[in-house]
Amino acid sequence: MSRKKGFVRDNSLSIVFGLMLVVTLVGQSLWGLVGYNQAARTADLQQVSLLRYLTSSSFAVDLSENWQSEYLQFTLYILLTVWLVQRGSSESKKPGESGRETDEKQLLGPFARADSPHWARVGGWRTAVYSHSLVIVMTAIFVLSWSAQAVTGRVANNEERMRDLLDPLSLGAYLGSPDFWGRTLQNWQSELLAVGSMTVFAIYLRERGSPESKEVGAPHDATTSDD
Amino acid sequence: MAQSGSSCAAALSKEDLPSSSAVMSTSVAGHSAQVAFADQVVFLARFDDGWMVTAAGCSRTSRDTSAPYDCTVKGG
Repeated sequence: MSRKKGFVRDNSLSIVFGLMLVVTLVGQSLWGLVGYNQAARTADLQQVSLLRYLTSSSFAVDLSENWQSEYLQFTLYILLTVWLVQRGSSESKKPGESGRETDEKQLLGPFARADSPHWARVGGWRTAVYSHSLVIVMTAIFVLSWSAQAVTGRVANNEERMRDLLDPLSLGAYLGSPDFWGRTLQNWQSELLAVGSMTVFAIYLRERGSPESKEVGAPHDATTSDD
Repeated sequence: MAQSGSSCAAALSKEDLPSSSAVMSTSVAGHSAQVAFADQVVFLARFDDGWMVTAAGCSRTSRDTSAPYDCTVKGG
């Protein structure tokens, strides 16, 4: 029992966020179904079951448009904080520390520890890939989910267009459509707003005990980073 | 068809619908579909009983692709 308690305590952040993700996904599914069927009733068309809705392009595009912007946010944030700094922010490296940093600071080569990850210790292409693995994976998920948004968004948009006695759009035409770019940019602006405001708020505001905040008594112009 | 004051079959026969011709293209997305014939476009929707025509005898009356087709027969 104490081992189980230890596991939960040591992983409480991911467990709680995982549970909140499940709850909000269920909520989005149910409300999305209500909205979809309301539109169908208005047009005197067939309403669908929850299972049918969950396998529809309408649900898939609503999911993927949010996911692609989250992973774009992380990709940009992780990458740009290598070179760009914000004096006073807890989200930034200190001015003067821009760049990829030394092997010594990154615990690579002769500075690798016995408990460093295997691909960090072996050198060669594996260390090169591992050194960028976070951005590689975040970018891959962004590209895949943005592609999913394009494909499923076209189907969902065409379903509405043909319901309204309009011609459907080809994928090329959809990629230049207000529906695609409206969905994309409304999500991007909110993600960039969140990162930008967190970067600046963290200069002047505090939350005692959070690793995302400087110490309550830390000066505004003191810049901290996650090392 | 309710607007014509007669049964569906009788009212349909009075409409000036083009007869069947070659299928030029078909498009399906979710519960909606469009079939373009040589001389008309037909829109369909999927129900539990299968696909049903929701608009027929449709043609373009405007070059603006944001304007819907003008259809001789429309459901709903």
